[in-house]
Amino acid sequence: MRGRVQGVDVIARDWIGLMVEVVESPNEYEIGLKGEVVDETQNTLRIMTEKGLKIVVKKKRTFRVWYGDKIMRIKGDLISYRPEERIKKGLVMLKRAKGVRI
Amino acid sequence: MYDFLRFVPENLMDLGFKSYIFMLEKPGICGGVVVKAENPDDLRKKLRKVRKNIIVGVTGNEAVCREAVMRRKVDLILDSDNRQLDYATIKLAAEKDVAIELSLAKFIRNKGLSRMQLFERLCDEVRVIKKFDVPFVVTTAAENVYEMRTRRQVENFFSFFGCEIVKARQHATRLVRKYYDTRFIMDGFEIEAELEADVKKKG
Repeated sequence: MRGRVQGVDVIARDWIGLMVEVVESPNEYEIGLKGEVVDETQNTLRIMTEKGLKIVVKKKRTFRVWYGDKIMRIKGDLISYRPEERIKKGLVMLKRAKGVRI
Repeated sequence: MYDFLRFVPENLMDLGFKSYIFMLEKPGICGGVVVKAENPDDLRKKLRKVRKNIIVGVTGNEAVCREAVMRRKVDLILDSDNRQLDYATIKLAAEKDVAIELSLAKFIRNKGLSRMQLFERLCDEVRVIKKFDVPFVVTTAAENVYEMRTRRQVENFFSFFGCEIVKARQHATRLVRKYYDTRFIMDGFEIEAELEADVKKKG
């Protein structure tokens, strides 16, 4: 049975400094890009990869994120807000989702 | 695809379903609870007694269904012979993320004119469900062994009336995962692995 889940607040915070990997994307060359997020805008993430700085669009992509002691899989559409707005919007999203305990 | 039954059979046959959810008035270890209410006040009273982490299905008349859609605890509007959903209720179900059950058993139980009226009602419901992209599940809703059918039969029956079976499967899976999968958090957001647990396993 479900209980309180730690780390769900990852969609309610900014992602700068987090390790991410692009798992699904309509652009096949983006799949597998992995690195640390150095900057974030409403629609894009700037990821510092081994091959340099890459800008990846959030929408229609799925990201794997290393957050705390968990690896999470998140659809980019859920985080396509400005980082400063997302603190509020992310919490509202989590509160409205049924069965989620934050 | 999951099937939502109203009883616990002694011998479960393999009918092609991934698993079964037992929707009972007194829930067991795994399954859901059915809340039967006469009126909206009665529904509110009964919902207060229901514990949080369980699939909650509501059955009743039109007023009860409309009230149920607006309750946070309710996940599913169960199907019954006399269920009537109006346009506003179905539209609201889409906004509030409450699934609507479309069952096969009621068509087996009824005959003649009443069955024909049920077909007519189903067509209307399916039209509105498609229009607003309402979450819905197709099930047998069997109350005894004789009402159980195979997955293929259920899917063929409802696809004839225009239901998108792939969506129905997704909604049923999501509903079950929401309560019984600890890794599922919400649509498009799930936990893949926990690093500590993996380290312990390797150690």
